[in-house]
Amino acid sequence: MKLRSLYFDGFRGALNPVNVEFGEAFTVITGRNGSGKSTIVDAVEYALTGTLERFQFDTEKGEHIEDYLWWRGSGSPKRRVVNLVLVDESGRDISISRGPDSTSDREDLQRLLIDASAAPDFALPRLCQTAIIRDESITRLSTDMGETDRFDFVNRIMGLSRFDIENRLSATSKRLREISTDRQTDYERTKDEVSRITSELSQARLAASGTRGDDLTAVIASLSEALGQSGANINTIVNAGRNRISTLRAEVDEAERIATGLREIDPALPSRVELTRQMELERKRIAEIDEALRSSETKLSELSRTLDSERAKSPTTEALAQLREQGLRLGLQNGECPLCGLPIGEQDFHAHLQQIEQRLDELSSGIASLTTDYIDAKSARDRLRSERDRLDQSYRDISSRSEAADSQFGKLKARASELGLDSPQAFTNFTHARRQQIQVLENGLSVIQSSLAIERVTDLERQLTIAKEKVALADSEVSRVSKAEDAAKETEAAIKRVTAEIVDERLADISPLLSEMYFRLRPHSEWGEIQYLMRGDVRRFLSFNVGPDLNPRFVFSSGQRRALGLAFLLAVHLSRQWCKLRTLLLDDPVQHIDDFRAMHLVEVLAAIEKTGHQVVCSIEDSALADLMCRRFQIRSAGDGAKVEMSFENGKGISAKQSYVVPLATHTLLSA
Amino acid sequence: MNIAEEARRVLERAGYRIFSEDSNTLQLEDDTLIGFVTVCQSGEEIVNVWRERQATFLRKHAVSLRASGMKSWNVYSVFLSASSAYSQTKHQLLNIEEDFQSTRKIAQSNLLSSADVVRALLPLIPIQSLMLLRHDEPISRLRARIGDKIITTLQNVKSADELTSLFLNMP
Repeated sequence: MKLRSLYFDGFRGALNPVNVEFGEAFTVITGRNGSGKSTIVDAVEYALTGTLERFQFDTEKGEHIEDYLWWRGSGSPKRRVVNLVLVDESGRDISISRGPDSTSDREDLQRLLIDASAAPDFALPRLCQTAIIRDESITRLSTDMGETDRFDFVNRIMGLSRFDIENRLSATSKRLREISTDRQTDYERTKDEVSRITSELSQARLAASGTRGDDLTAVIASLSEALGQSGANINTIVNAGRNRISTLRAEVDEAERIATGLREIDPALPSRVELTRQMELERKRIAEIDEALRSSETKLSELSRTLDSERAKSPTTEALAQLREQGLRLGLQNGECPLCGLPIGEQDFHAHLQQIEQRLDELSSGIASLTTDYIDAKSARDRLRSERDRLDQSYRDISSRSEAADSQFGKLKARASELGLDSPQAFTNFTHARRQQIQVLENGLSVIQSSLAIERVTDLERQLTIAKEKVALADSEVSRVSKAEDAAKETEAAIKRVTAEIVDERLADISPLLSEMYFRLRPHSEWGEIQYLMRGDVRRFLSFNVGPDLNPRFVFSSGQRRALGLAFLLAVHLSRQWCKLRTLLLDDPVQHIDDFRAMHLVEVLAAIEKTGHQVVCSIEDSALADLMCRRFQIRSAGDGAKVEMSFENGKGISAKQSYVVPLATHTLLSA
Repeated sequence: MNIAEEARRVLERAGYRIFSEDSNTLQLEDDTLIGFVTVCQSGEEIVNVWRERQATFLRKHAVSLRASGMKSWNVYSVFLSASSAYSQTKHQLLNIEEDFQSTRKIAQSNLLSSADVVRALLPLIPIQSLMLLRHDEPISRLRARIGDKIITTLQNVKSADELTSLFLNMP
């Protein structure tokens, strides 16, 4: 199956219809940037898959490739359609059309193009991925791909992706793992239950160990009667018994508190008598101090009056004191007295001041003596007042204590009377009777509780038996699931091993082709050989190695990496067993590649064409396009085609088609 | 190994018409290419003679090449040698190949086996390693390895749940 022709209208940059007739052996598409070379390849991919893989995951500003598949410029195309015509080995044309809704008019496309017995999953996209080599995907799908992804890529392209049984087994193993986890959890839970019951059983056995051989029925009957709970169930009787014991204990405690209180605060007690005597003494002392206080107040009053009288008798004392002070302060003024202005000597002036001072001392000595007496009398009165306050407080305290004791004694006496505790014997009888009742009740309750503990032991033993049976069952389930898991794993591992063997063999099969492609394209002048290494058991790797164990991804220039990538992708293309389409499309494959290696690529493509593959290659360099046209082998007109693309503003892209004529056949012979 | 004979065999198998000029020189032509193969004693000899040999060929066939139109652009001058070349000579041989004037040159030394000759002539011949890949059915190999019964059962059971139940209930 090869490409016969392509027609598209309104697709990408085509405002007007574009028609391309492919050469049976090769077609070279040439034109400047933006002239529509890639649109030819895009249209082929769109016709086959309904999308463009190179843009599939690109989104920008909410827009996707679907928004740009059809003409968006000014003007409106007459139709929006892509039509690809294929031709099979018998010369039969197969037409595929797709409009903007991306659905194809052919449902048998996969069957026509793919050999189902060896097809990979997503066969049509994978067909395009390996039939179309684009400038931007050369290194992305080869040298720049991770080793694991590279292995998967080759693995899937060779149609060896996981087949149904392996997928189902993998899902089964996962499911069995989940079941195994659940069963293990069940097993652990039942084991925990056994531990819990065993622990409870030990405690119950301990509680039941003191059980006596009393007649439980008689004990219950006796208790229920004593408690006024005839006919009540055992729990009600036990609760009533506990409440009664509490009440009896409270009564005993109260009686003992009353007895103690009455003993400790009886007014006839010596301590209480002493308290009363003390109060009497305090009262007398207070009366004495009151008398002394009155006398002291009188004396103080008399002294105050005398002092005022003495002060009134000496009006000049103050004036003399001021005169002496002014004289001392001003001193002699130019030999004159500062007070009278009369001339006076220094010695006489100070003699006069001395005389004033002596007079002042005589006048003050009587008042000073009176003042001292007054202060002493006042201190004596204050001391009496303070003593009086202290005794008054002390008396009030003792009086208050005595009154409280009398009140408490009265209350206790009244409560004792209420309880009929009028004598020490009555107290003894009261408490003894209640203690006996408490003892009887506690004995009865103990018998009942022991009996309940025995029942609990029996119940727990039954629960333990059931729990142990559950553990055994859960254990057997764990074993059963584990066995199933092992069997599934073993089968899955065997299938994986067989698959891996086939993969290894097939990769070994294509290894010479990979090496030949590398040698033909000669990315590196020194390292003419390349090794393809496969390793890993669980995750498989496919790595490249050149020279002395070097990874070309990191030592090659970008041009060399592209040449290596082309070698890899061309080998992958030629390795597909499942693909019936024998067309290789290349979209501008020589960017960044030097002339020497571009020549190698042309020779490789010619070699591929010579093996019966149709080659469609778009290329910007017109000289290289011409080289291709004369280098590819053709035997008749129609084998080779050249398409020159161009773009005109307002009209979109257009194609000008010509056929390459065969070259002269017997040049040397004619010589 | 006779390199000239080996080259003849390889090129004829690739569809070329071969004309021997002498024991060490072949002329070749197919629908697209024309050219010659010269076997030299050493890489150094290639370096010394390639210009003269190329000129001789072009001179000899000048008339017919002019008459052949575009085919005259597809002339290959092939220089082969069995002896190994020193590093400097290797570099000179590479320079010869990278010189695109007049003809496309192939200059290779150290050709010790038939595979080496095939490799040297790869630019002129179709893909060599293209073989039919093995296409054995993985299921048949699984049957042989794991057992027919279990694989049949696995194929018949369609869901993972069903398969899980099968594994859980196996004896």
